[in-house]
Amino acid sequence: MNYNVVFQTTHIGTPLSKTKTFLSLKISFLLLLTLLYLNAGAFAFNQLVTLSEKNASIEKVLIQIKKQTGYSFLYDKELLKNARPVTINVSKAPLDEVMKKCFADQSFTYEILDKAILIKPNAQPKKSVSVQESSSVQAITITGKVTDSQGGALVGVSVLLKGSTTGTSTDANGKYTLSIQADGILSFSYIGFTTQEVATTGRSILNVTLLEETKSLNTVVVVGYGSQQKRDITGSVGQVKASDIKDQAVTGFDQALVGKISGVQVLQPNGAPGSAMAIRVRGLSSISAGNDPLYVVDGVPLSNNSDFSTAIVSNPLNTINPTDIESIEVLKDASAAAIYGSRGSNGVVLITTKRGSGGKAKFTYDGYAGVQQVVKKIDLLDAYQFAELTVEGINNAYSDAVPGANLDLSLNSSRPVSYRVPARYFPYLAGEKGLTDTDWQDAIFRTASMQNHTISVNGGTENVKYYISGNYLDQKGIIIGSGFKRYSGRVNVDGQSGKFHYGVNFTPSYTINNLVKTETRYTEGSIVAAALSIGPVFKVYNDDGSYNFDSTPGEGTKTWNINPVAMALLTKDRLTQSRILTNGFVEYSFLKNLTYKLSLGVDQNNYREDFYRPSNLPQMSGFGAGGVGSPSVPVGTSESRGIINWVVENTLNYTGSFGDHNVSGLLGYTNQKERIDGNFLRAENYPTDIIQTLNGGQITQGYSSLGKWSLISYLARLQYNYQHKYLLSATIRSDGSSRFGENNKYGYFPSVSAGWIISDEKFLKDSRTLSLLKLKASYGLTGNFQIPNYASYGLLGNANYVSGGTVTNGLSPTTVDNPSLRWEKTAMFDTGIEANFFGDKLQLQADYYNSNTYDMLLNVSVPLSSGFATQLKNIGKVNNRGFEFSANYRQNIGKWQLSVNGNIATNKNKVVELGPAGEPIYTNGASGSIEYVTMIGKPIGSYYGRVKDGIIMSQAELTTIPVTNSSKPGDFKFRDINGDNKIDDKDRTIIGDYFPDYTYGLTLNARYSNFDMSVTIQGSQGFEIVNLQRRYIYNFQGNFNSYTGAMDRWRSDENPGNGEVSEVNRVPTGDGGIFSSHHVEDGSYTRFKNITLGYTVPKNVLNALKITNARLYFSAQNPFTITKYMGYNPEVNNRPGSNLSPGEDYGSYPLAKTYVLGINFSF
Amino acid sequence: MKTKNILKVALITAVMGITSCQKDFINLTPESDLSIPNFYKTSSDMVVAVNAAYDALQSTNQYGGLFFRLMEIRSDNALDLNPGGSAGVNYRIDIFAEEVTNTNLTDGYLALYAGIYRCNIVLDKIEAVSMDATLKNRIKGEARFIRALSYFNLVRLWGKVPLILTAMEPSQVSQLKRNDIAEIYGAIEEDLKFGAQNLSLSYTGADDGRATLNAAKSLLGKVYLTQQKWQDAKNILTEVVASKKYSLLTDPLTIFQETNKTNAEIIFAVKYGVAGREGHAAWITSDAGQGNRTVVDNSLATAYTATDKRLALIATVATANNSQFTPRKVYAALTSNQAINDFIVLRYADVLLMLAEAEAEVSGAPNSAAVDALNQVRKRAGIDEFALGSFANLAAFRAVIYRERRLELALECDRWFDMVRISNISGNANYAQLAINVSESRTTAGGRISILPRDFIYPVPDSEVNIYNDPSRFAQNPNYPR
Repeated sequence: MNYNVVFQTTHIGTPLSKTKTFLSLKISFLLLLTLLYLNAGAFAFNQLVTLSEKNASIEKVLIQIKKQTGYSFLYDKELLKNARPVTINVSKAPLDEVMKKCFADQSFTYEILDKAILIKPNAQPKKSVSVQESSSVQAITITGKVTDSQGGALVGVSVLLKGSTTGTSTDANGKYTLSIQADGILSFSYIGFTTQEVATTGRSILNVTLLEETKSLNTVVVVGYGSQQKRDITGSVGQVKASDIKDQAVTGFDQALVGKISGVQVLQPNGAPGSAMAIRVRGLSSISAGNDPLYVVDGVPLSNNSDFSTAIVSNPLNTINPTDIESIEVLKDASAAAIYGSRGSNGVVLITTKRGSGGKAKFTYDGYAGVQQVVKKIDLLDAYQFAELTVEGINNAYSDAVPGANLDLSLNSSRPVSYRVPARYFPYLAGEKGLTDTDWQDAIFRTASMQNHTISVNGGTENVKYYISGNYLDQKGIIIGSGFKRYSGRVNVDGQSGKFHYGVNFTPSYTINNLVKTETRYTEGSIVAAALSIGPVFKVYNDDGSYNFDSTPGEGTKTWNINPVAMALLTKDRLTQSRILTNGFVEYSFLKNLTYKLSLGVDQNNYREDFYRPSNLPQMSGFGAGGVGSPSVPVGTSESRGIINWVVENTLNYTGSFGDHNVSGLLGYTNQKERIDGNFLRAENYPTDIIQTLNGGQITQGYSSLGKWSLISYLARLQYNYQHKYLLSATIRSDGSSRFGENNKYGYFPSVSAGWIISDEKFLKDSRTLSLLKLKASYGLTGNFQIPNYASYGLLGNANYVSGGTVTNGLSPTTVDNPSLRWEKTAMFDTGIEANFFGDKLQLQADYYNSNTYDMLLNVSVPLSSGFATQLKNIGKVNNRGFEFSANYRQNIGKWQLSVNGNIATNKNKVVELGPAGEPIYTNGASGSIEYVTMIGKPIGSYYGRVKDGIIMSQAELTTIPVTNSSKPGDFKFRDINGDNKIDDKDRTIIGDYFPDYTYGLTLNARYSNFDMSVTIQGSQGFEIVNLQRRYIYNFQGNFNSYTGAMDRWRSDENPGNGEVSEVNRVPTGDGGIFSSHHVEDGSYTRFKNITLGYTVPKNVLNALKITNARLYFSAQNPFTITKYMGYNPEVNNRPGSNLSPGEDYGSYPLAKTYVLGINFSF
Repeated sequence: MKTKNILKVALITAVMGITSCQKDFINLTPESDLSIPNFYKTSSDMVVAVNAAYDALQSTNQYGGLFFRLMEIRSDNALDLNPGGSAGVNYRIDIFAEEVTNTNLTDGYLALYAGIYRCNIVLDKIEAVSMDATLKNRIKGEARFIRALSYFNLVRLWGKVPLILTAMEPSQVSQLKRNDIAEIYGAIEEDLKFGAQNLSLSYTGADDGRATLNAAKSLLGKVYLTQQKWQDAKNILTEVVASKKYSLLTDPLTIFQETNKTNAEIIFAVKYGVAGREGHAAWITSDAGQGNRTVVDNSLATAYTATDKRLALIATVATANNSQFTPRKVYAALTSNQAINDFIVLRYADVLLMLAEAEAEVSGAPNSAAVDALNQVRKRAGIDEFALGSFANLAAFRAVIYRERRLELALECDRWFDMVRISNISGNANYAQLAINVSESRTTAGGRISILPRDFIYPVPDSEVNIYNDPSRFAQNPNYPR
């Protein structure tokens, strides 16, 4: 009797066909067994049963017993097939006695566990033993003990001589005795443990340690429109369970996913509280359309198109409390994602929330509180160094303009005004002590608090189960004035009534995000850019306590740096989001294996942003008040978006087995529609700053907008396996979308995949080391529909003019018609191997994929003479290919339980085809000039500029190398790429890209007694960042503060510095400001993402407090990052929405390191 | 039991059928935006459509800012002192070092063609609209006037360009070639002649500011002058003067005031700004102190005599509430990025000077009509008038009229074109060379250069050459890139 090949258990009274229920039962069964082991011998049979049956089936009897006692039964269906009818007549008899009667003369026996009764085969077929004894002359008696890896005795382990029926099972002490005729192989099998076979070879004592079977093999993985056993999956699906992401002080689950799944890059483009992460599954497939994956929460495909104009994109997924999440699955390959058709090509993220498990209400509290600080500070010049730099810059400019000028500062007043040194610098040059030396980073950053509390209740009855939670999160931002708050709740209810199964999920949430302006350059008011670039010689506050707005570094030059502290604190920018996600379903089982499900989801999502810029904050660009303290024109805006998205899904599910043939099928029909209503109002001319709502001013601008999209889909999936060994799966989805042109309304997205579990073949079945070997391959087609709602129409836009002294309406086409517009297609091939060893203690997984995205939605450059720069067309092709490798290893050493999960992934992104003539796409960066190129053979949005080769060290060198016409010694030396002996725009080349050569993640978990620890390390290697901040703080003009590297600057032929840093000159020469490799840095990094130390409070302490379990922990998020990158965050991306111009750092909100103390307990 | 099952099936079918009108479900048309097929139907649609053609002229990449760089900073009138700002794209225009990828070129080229597209779609669609014939002709005249102005700017900035006279799909446009300059001028003249015949003498009330027949004629005069068609120029400009519709204002300072937008001197202006809408960023400003942005070249200020009333128009004044400075001629009371002063494209003083030049060229020597027209402008400026006999020959008169044009029309986006035009008349680049020789920008540019005939036009945008990828149809201008 071998339990672990196909061991089917079931609950009496629950439907037999539900794979998921069946599996969760199996898991709980394992847990129960553990409990049994812990409480061995402590049974209390005080239940009384009254029964009167004649020749009844055993199942009927068991149902009666269950009803009366509440005990559940766990059994193998096969086992009961040959059960003898039961005749019994007892009144108020103890359970044990009743059971004995029922099970007399049966081919199976039972065992009473904590709250269930396990039915198992008669362990000791004594008859056969005696037969063997009689026929044997020299019987060998083998004795031994079977233990688990921690040395605990295993009770009831089946010990069987291979190839015979001779066997026994271990007793309460884990001991066994077995007589056999001759040496042979003994097989030890036990539920939840890997079967082990040992040759007796003359030994009489044979102690065996069984290895626990890893749950993963039997893990259920959620896939689109259903779930599957992990073992049967033929696509590529990454899974993260709640336990893998717990303890992290993050606002959204996406932040906790960093480094957890191979091939899933979770990028944090900025550190603003509540800001969106960018999840990239297997590279970047699209140039113009979106690259975000589809998010599906409890089966409802969400729309994340907030269509909002704010620079910091609020993360729509913030509304989901990570504590409520049970598991996250990422569908990576086309065969897994094709069931989502035209939305699958960027991968699909399936989020499953926690559900009620029934029973007595169980309360759980999860919470933490702690502090955050900026990950690092950037080394900048102090006031004395800055003064020296500025004055040197002015002097050098003066020398250039007036050759031979006397630089003696005593003659300062006779210089032309633009070359005059402001008097404020004299004390600094004289080295006077105690002068203003402001650290502007200290001024804008703070140690910010963070706290998060979730309380949940889980319980229900046999038929109705619930999970209810409430959450409060308060994250102050590390930049003054910023912060994020969330209030959210969740109610999940599941019910069962006859053939009906139903459920409702209700998730209201409300978030408040106080924004500060970052992600842009100082001229547009970025607080970070201003804090880095403003001179340290300026004060934050004047002596009278008012803000200081004087930041002019030179006499004749004005640099419009506005006091960043004032910008952060005086400007009001509040973004709120209220979202209610509701879905419900009804399932009806027509037949045993055929279920119809109707599900409805409604997502109501409302954003509102209120902005006010008061009059006491001066303006900075070329208009408005810029003088010291002079009032500016106050501006207020109010913007809102109301989004309603509903989906109706009808699915029909079939699961059946015909001998060794297992089949399941899915048919579906779905409709989804979204409507976005927008409003925008702007007011100016506020008489005072007291009333900051728009009624306080005069409305100068306003609009409302309306957009819709809709989708009709048919889907089908067929899964087949033979003995769970040969696996096949095929899916198809057809999507009709309103977004596509009249000529191409419908798309079809098929996929196929196959798997082979080689380890189940005869030649490997007996391997002791190899527990699973699976090969799989898939091919499929997915789409991308993330384009504007009406992109196929030539739209008219406002083009108003002034006639007769009033504004008159004008309308003109803003886009070109394209009735043939359709989805992008991604064809992906994937092949993988999974190998588990030593009872799944070591699990290895490797995947190779090659995907081609074609019919790309590309804003193709068209002749400008057409009046348009681009037209959206389906053209071009991008290739992504890569390897993914992951390994998990678990080992218990003494009382230590250790596990290591590692993953590494490569991806190579390559543009294969572009517009008609294949011409490259050049894209401007924030500098206003071309920084990027997307060209055939290279990654999307590669950096494009000149190559800096150090510094022109001397006049002598200047004459020997090609330079631009204004170069001087001390200027950058550029590489003459085209070899024409001139330095100009033709010498631009690719100088980096944002795509790492590889990304990796490593998680270490250790547990010793009540202590646990986990460390997550994550990193990316081989990519570059456009540190455009260098255009200011490393421009060597002396008008901004600078990296301390400027101390090694070129000063003269004799004193040329380190050869990397140019001369400082207020009127720069030699094209130093033109985009070049000077502005590009290696971004490679290794980051300690999370370190957690936990302590589980011992049970005996808790029992007194009536708490079932409690754990305290300390967690550090982002504590260290190892990188050469000079900015705050090597993942930075100022424009996460623009694929053509990635990886730019220009005043971006830095990441925080967070330290929290947390507690969770339940009762 | 049976009934129950039927009911269940019916329920399911009903739910599935909720959205069974599939075609309607996914056929969504824009609701808050108009699309081409449902517009251009009525006469009011056509008015709105032609307004959009005017709006193109307002664009930041036309009169709203960019032309100032291509037409004034390029010349000897203004300087850009900011080699680092916006990667030096404006500075490089100033020092004749622009790359073929300079964004000013790409933006300006596109903006002009975007305007032409708006004119073309009006002209294409209007024929099918049943509407009042006068209004129809007016709208056609307006569209053709704007198209002519756009092509006139295009041909002067870039030379040969594709001549597109209908609203074409991008795919059709990519089949075209750069047309000869003569063909482009031919089309410009046709458009303006149509305007001269179909537009009214004036528009009032809600239509005030629309292109008039004199706007078309004045522009045609400039087109003829540019082509050295002296007789044609003289004839058409004489008609403008003879209409007696326009006169010189007594005080030149009042012509440009944003409080005096409709005055007797203005023939055509690009209209801006009402109550914080439809404004523009200031055309030319410099920061407090001497600034590092755009400034008026010293050579311009020193070219005026001290008593010249126009000198005050060149002098910078502080903008309100602001530490920035701007020449009075383009002064705007900035309270936000919505300056409301109009950009005057054609005014009577220009017509008089053009007429003076044409008269002299036709006669081969300055005549009384020429000197009289010149003197009207000088008199108003408060400077000495010339006697007919004070000019030794045509060359002497030319020198005076050229100088007068610079002083009168400074910072009005005429100067660079005049420098090229005058160089073309003389057959050498000496006049245009002034853009370098007198310009202060040389002192920071590191080395002087000579202006070559190549420099008379800008390089066409590199992207356009690449997209055609066919030198036989669309080659870069000669001797570019530098």
